[in-house]
Order: sequence, then C-alpha cells, then structure tokens
Amino acid sequence: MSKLIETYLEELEQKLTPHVGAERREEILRELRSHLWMSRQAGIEELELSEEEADKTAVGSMGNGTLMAEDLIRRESGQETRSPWKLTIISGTFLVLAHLTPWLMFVMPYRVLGIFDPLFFDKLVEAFVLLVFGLACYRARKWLIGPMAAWVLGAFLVTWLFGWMVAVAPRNADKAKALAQLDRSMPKYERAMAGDLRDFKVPNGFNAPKVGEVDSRMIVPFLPVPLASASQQGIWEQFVPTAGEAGALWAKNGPAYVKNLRTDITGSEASGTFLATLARAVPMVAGTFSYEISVIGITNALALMLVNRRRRRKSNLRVA
Amino acid sequence: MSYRTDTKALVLAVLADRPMHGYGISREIKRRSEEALKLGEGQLYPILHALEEQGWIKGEWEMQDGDPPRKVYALTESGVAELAKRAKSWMSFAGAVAAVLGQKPEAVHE
Repeated sequence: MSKLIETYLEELEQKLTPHVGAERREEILRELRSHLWMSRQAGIEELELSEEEADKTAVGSMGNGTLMAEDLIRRESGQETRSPWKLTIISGTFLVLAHLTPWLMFVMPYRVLGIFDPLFFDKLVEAFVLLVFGLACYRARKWLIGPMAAWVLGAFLVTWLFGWMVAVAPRNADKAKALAQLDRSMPKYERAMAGDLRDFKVPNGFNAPKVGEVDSRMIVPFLPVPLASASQQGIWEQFVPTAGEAGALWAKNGPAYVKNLRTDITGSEASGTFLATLARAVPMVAGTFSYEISVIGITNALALMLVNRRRRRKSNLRVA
Repeated sequence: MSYRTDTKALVLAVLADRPMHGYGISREIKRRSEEALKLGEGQLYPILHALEEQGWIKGEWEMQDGDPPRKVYALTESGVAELAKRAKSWMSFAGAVAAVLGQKPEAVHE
C-alpha cells in the first residue's frame, strides 16, 4: 500500500480515535483503504498515471481529511441525528429567566435597584442563551425554524404576560407623592457628594439603600414601560469588591440617578389605566418580538456561515 | 448555483441494479449522469453508514486476492420501498420545476 494513502488514513485515525470505538474505527478505515486502493488502481490502469500520481489523485478525490473525519464523527457519535430541541429547551429556559429579570424592577424598591441592575443580568443571561442556541445551530447545520419560532413565541409570551401583569399592578399611584419621595432623597445624596457621609455610615460601612426613599410602587406607573432604568444613570455598572466602594458609588451617582427619575416622572402620565398600559405595552412587545427574531436569526445565520466556511471546498454533490 | 439534492436517493438508485462497493457507487453516479454529477468520495461513507443504520442497505465484506477486502452494499426490501418513495417525490418536484420553466419533463432529461 502506498505511503501517501497510509499517511492519510493515519491522520484520519488520529482524528477519529477520541470519538469512535476501536472496532468501528478499524472497520471504517478498512473500508476507506479499499476505496483508496481501487481508486489508485483505476488511476494506474485506466488513466495510465504513475503510482505517485495515482496516489495523489485517489487521496485528492477523497477530499479534505479533517472535514471527512468531522462528518464521520458526527455520524458515529449520533450528532447528525440528534435533535436540536434539547439545546433549544435549555436556551429557552434561560431566555425566560433573562426576560423575567427586568421585571424584578417592578417589585423591588428603586433604592435597591440602584445597586442591583437587572438589565445587566438580562444581557448576561441572554448572551449565554445565544451561545447555546448558536451551538445547536452549528451542530444541526441548518436553519432551526421550529426552535426559532418556539423561542420567539416564548419571549413574546413572557414579555407580554409579565409586562401586562406587572405594569397594571401599581394602581392609584400619586405623582405628587412620588416626586416628594425623590425630593426628600436628593439632599441626602447631595450632602454625601459634598463629603458628608453620615447617612451612609453604618457598622458595615454601607447603608446606601436607606438613603433614598424612592419606592418603585410610587414611581413605576409614571415611567416608560418596560424599563425606566434604561434611561436612568445606572449606579451598579461595574462589579464593586467592597460594600464601602458600593456606598461611594451611590454617593457619587445618586443625585444624577434621582434627577433622571424625577425628570421622567414629571413629564409622564400614569400607566395604571388599561389604555395607558396597552399603549405602552404594544410597542414594548412588538419591540421584543422583532428584537428576538433579529438576534436569533443572526445567530443562526452566523452559525451556518461558520459551518459553510469550513466546508466550502466540497459539497455532497457537485453539478458540472 | 445550488440545487435541491437527494444524495441518499442517488445511492439507493444505483444499488437498485446490483450490490456495489463505495468506490463503485461514486463511479456509477458519475457515469449515469454522464459526468454531470460528481459525488464527493469522502462524503459518501457517512451517507452509506446512515443508510445502513436505517436498514435501507446492508453491507457485507468480500475478501479479495491480493487486494484489501471491500465492503459491498446491497439494497434491502425497506430500501426498495424508500427508493420508490423518494423517486416519486423527486419526479414530482422535477416535474413542477420543469413546468414552471416551461419545459416538458422529457426535455429535462435530454
């Protein structure tokens, strides 16, 4: 047997070894060896090639060894037939969590939200979700229309249901009271900025949540749905290692945060009525819908591009 | 240009005539299509293994004098039925495309 053919088979074997059992691997290689041998003989006898040229032609016709090993591994490991739904369900579960996180804003006091930014976690989880979904697309090597539809529908329902329930919940909010809350908080932050940290000082060195009197039940009905905080200056924009540093961040950014909230509330109407909620919820849901379609569509396309780029050199069937 | 392809159907069709080894199958597809279709030889084996796993073909080793042993594949009964199903589906598709292109189905084969 020729050296070139044996080298080709050895390289293939190395790639198959971690994924395919010894007996099956041996059978595959034996079959490929006979194929290459026949191809080689045909080159010599029919095309009158030299042995060396016939070897090259036989190996060349078999194609890129890496891609071939990849195909064989996909087949032997069951990846080819594995349903993409499992990964989709995993990513979908996290997607639901990601979409739920921002709604925590509506049930948490704003003074706490200042140090816990749900949007940050939302994006973090969604990035993970897209990674998992991208992996499913890469493995499946096709457009996952069903899973994509399920994904978008899931995002739609979660956003709609929770958005609806939570946005309607805070009724009878009083704008004057909300503004008064903010006004009471503002001087404390300003004092802190000027260096007077009495309001922040507690035994553990951090008492920022007590400083602000902002209450989401009061202010949420006046803020744009879904998330007022998107327009606010985020206080928790980076990880802070100590409670003291978190307190310092509060002192530094608190006034701007409260000012932004106040501006939003001053010029807005309550969303506690059915029509007002509907008017705010529809663009929100439509936005989520189109966003999700775009993001997962792009993820799927990128995964396919990645697959195709690697495999451009050969296709199953070439039409002359 | 990309076309709808059914490589599995091509392999089944070639094996409908007689049992064949992988190398023979790829050559036969090329020959029957008058060299218009060339099946990537490296791609053939995952397809053959898939067909075998589905029970549509069955492979048996043949010993050779002086040459490496080779695996010869033959169509099973369920493979015959699958081929008929795929051929029907393909003809229907090809006829529809020909109709849209304004060609008679006979002309497609010319």
